Amino acid sequence: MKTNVATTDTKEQILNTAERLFAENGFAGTSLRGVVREAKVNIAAIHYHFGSKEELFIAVVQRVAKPIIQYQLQQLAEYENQTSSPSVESILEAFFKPPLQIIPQMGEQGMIRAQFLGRCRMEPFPIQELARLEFNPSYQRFVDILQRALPNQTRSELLWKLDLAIAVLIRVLTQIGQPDALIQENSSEEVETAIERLVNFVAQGMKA
Amino acid sequence: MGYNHKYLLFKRLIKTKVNVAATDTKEQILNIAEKLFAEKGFAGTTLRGAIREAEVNIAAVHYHFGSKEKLFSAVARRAAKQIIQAQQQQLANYENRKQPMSVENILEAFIAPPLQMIPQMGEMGVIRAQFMGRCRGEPFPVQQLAEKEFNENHQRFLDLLQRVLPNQTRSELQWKLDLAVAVLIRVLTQVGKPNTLIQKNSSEEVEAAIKRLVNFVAQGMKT
Repeated sequence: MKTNVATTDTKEQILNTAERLFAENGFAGTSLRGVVREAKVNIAAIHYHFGSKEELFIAVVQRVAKPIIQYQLQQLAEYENQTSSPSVESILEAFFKPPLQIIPQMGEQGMIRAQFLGRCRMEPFPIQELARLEFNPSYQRFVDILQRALPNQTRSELLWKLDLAIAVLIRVLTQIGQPDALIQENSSEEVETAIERLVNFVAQGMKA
Repeated sequence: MGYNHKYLLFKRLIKTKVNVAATDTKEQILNIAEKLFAEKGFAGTTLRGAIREAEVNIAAVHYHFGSKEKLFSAVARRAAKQIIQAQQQQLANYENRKQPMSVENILEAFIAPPLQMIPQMGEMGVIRAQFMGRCRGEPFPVQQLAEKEFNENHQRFLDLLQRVLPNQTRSELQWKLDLAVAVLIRVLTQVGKPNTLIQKNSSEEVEAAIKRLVNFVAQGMKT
């Protein structure tokens, strides 16, 4: 038992440090050696749990993606079971709400997470692709349901529109607390208002 | 031709050559720095790496730029200058028509220049798009170095938007324009990828993409 706890702790410790370093310094600016030094673990532990820098990156993405996707799909399930197609607004709300409710509440770790998500989208190929694959299952289901709500648009059109909706979402997350950003004080009322405004901002373009 | 005259001519020739060399070195450093910042980000780029790849000496980099921050600012300034000039030109075209500008007109003046210029730059355009993505994705205070270069121009566009959307607060327009930039940069960095707005990069496709993007953003801007 004790060994298992220690193993979990080491793994978590490595993931926390790696997430922070990838967020701050980008993929190329992060070295396994740097992670080892800051996480205060030994290199054997990293190789044992993760193997390479790419695999470590993927593990961080998976940890970040999991709670967001779970919450998103839970929100979506309600609509998927209905025979009538939901409004574009409610689909977008199901998409935006989870990250906007989870991440700003995480304090310092939330800032890192937002920055990390930004990196996931900005890193050159093929790193960007590693991250995209982790979010793809949820992404495709949202496009499916958008297709039901907007039957006159092509799938390809909805794909680029949802991709731009993510660009918008991530910008909002990384700018939290900055002057003139959508979320400045980070109260739950402010977050709810931000979700509403963001849904509205994107829904119009989505439908056009 | 007297000796003195010849000497002066010679001196001018040397001077020109030196200036050209200096410009070349400077451009060379900027090109390499832009590529490295784009690929590796700010933290992943070192002055030493830029010097090695640009095949210049450290004195040249220090002479022209000073520090990594200043080099980053210089690259951002060069990228911004080109775009801002084209954006202002488009605005001037609309202003000359003496008709009141619509939200769509303003957004087109904002979105069209980078979308017309950058995908046409080939390999350099891919780097430029990626660099602009980095400018927005880097943590503070690096992000701010880039923002400074674009800020005055953003304010001008905000002034225009405020005039056609008088019921919205400045702060509202500010976050909306900021999100429009996020969208624009995403389109630029994804050029050539499947299921994106610009895949083959023909001028017809770019023009169609501008229209669709203006439409996409204008609706949200007005609500």
